Amino acid sequence: MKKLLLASTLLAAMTGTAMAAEIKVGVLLGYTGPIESLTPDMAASAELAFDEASNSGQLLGGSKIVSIRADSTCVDSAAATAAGERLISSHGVVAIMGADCSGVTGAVANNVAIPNGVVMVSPSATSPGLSKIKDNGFFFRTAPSDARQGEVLATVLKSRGIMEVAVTYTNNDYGKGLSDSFNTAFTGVGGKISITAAHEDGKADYSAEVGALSAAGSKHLAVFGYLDQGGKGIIQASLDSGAFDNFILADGMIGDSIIEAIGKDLNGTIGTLPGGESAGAITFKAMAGKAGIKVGGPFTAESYDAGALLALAMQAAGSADRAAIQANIMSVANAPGEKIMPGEIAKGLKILKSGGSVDYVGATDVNFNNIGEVLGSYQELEVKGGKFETIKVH
Amino acid sequence: MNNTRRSILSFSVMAGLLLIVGQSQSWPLMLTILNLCLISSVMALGVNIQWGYAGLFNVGTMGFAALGGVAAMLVSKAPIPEAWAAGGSNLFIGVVLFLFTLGAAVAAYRKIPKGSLRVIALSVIILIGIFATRYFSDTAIADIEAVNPALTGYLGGLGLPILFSWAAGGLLAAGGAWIVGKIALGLRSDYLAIATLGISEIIIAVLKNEDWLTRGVKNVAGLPRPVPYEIDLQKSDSFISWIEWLNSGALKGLSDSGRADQLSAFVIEQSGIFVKLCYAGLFTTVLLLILSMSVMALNSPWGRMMRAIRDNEVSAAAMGKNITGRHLQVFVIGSAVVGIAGAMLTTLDGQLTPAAYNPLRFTFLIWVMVIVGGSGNNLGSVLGGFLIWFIWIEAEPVGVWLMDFGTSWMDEGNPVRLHLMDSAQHMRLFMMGMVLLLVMRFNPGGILPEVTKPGLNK
Repeated sequence: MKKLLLASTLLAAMTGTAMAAEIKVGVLLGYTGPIESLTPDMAASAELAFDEASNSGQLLGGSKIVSIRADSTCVDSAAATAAGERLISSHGVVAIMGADCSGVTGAVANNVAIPNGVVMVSPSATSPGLSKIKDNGFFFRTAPSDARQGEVLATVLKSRGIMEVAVTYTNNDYGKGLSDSFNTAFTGVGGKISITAAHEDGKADYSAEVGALSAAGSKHLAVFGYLDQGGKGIIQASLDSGAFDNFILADGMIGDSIIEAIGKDLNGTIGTLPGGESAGAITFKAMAGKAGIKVGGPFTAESYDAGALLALAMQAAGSADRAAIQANIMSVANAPGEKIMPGEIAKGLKILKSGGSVDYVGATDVNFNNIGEVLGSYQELEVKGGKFETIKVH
Repeated sequence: MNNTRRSILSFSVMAGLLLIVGQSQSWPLMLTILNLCLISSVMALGVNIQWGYAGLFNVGTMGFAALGGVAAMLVSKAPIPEAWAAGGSNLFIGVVLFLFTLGAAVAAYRKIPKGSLRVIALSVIILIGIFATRYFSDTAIADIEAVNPALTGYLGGLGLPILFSWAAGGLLAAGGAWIVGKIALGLRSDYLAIATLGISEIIIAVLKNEDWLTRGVKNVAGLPRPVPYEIDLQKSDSFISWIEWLNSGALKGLSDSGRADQLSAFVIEQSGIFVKLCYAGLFTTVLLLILSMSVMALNSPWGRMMRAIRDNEVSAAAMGKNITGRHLQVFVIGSAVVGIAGAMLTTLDGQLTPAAYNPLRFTFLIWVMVIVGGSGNNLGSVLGGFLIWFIWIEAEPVGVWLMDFGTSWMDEGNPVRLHLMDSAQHMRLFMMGMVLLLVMRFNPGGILPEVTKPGLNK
């Protein structure tokens, strides 16, 4: 008897028993692998939006959204495809929030989501190449493509009169894509790149890389890397050897831990970070803090917005149907309609229920272009007195 | 239990596991897992040829799988005419100069007698060669990578059907293995392991950094498929009417609109199944071909010689066998099989992502397949490939269920329960270790151990 019970629960766990008015949404992120420290907060942020919609009682006659987590591993396309297949054909999810890293996102979108007609909203895949996949209108992302940040950084540097920099990037699709777009944009506005060199993460010593960068003769060094990884090592080695003391940082390098690690030598450093200091971003930070999510963690606001968009799209469609969600996600994200901020999902659901229209703004000022990508806004930051201060929003 | 019965039983259990997934989770998921099991089996066969037959401790599987993946991209992707126009001629001059330098260096080495004159001549030839080659190739590479870097920035491929690439992947990996073998095969067991591990990392580093060839870490997406696209099938009238005929029983007695909805749901679901079945057919053909050749090779005099070399190199050498030559041969063959599997994997993924190659997934997981399945036994490697890949994927849902079930007596908001549920995905590596330990404890030769003929020692 006990065995039978065990077997039947196992079966239930594997199939995921369906209950009336339960809407399943997949949350496909790399819970194991290179970004496993970021994903729990990203998933929790998306689930925060799902809970908000479920608890409002407004969603499709009091339906609840159940999140089903699956592991994309961030790097293993084969495992991610199998996880996506499980979400779609076994759990029967109506949409997927994810995936995270650009490589697996492309594989899951092309091999599973698009063929099955399931919407994917990625909160963190930033590779410019994903703009060109044949997605039949099923792939969206709430994180802007890296191509955009390069342009913003180039503008910032020009406005500050910095016309020659050395560039180093972490050798992956993020670092390389960003460095390419920055180099094009910066030379386009008349700047000069003295040298572009990659660095690999996870090394103990970066003095050789810094030596090569400094030999090119620029006074400023742009670092497109990760603050807990090679990026920090590059800055440390530059300061130790006196090669550079003016740094330009991209989003992967912005965080309190870099200031803690380096100290006051960072004063005067400038950088860019997606997301404005908008009212929505501030509200979301407060909400996330209350829910126990690391405040200001990368891609948490984008994850929340991805979750909220899916909930609103279901309501606008009037049914939690895969194709209907796809047909409505664009209209709830863009004008015209009532502006919806984070924490106001219930209000948005109510407006949609009574036949009105909404324009979801959310934590990151969501606005999709015609291929379902956000342009995004960027803050220009400067380190003053040992902390990052927002100078301007681009 | 004799070996045949043991094999039949093990494979029946494996088939049963897959059927349970099909029945309780879904058939498309089962086919997805099956396809990757087939590829993993081919890869494990390649490692088994090296380790099981000849005792070569090659932990550079990742590098050869990656070479196969590159071949898939280079064969199938359409060429980029703009990139060829921008840098093609300079690149060609660079390649010719490189080959010329190589030829001149070899000729100098052979013609000039040993001594300081040879050292000086070689140094001068190589130095001039490097600078001349780099003068042209650096310009070529910069020009090629400047062509629309966000989307292309590389030369593209040959634009041939991707099925050719499976053979090309094998050839490329074999060529790579020949070079690696020439350098490293003089080394003994553990030194060979370190050398191959290092060389495989070098191969990955080249793929990640030579953007003009592979787009590096920016990935090449959208490789053409050898099978139809689901989206095209869903629009094809003949496929729809075929599905209608296939499901006529289920569609009977529905109202017109209900019937149309149901039919389109069937078409979407079964187009996916159809595509996966096509892949499964192709992969099974390759697996059976390679498996049958492996079995024949192992039972032939050649196979006996290999085992003799593995078990006692000194006495095999005393019998007049060329140990280094045979090692090189088996190293090249095994790596070619791994390369074929690597090309099949890239074909199935539909994209080349050089940053995705890491030793845990592409070397050590394959080794676990061979060890758990039974090294020296071809069927064992196939079984290992199936079983380990199955666990690799199914560990996640089972892990989630185990955590849920194990903490079901706790309160919903209990921090211990929440923490365990949040880390359920990490059960994958834990289970892999458990399986390896259990098999090693109770079946040190693997699930299907090596078959030794009566009368032979052991």
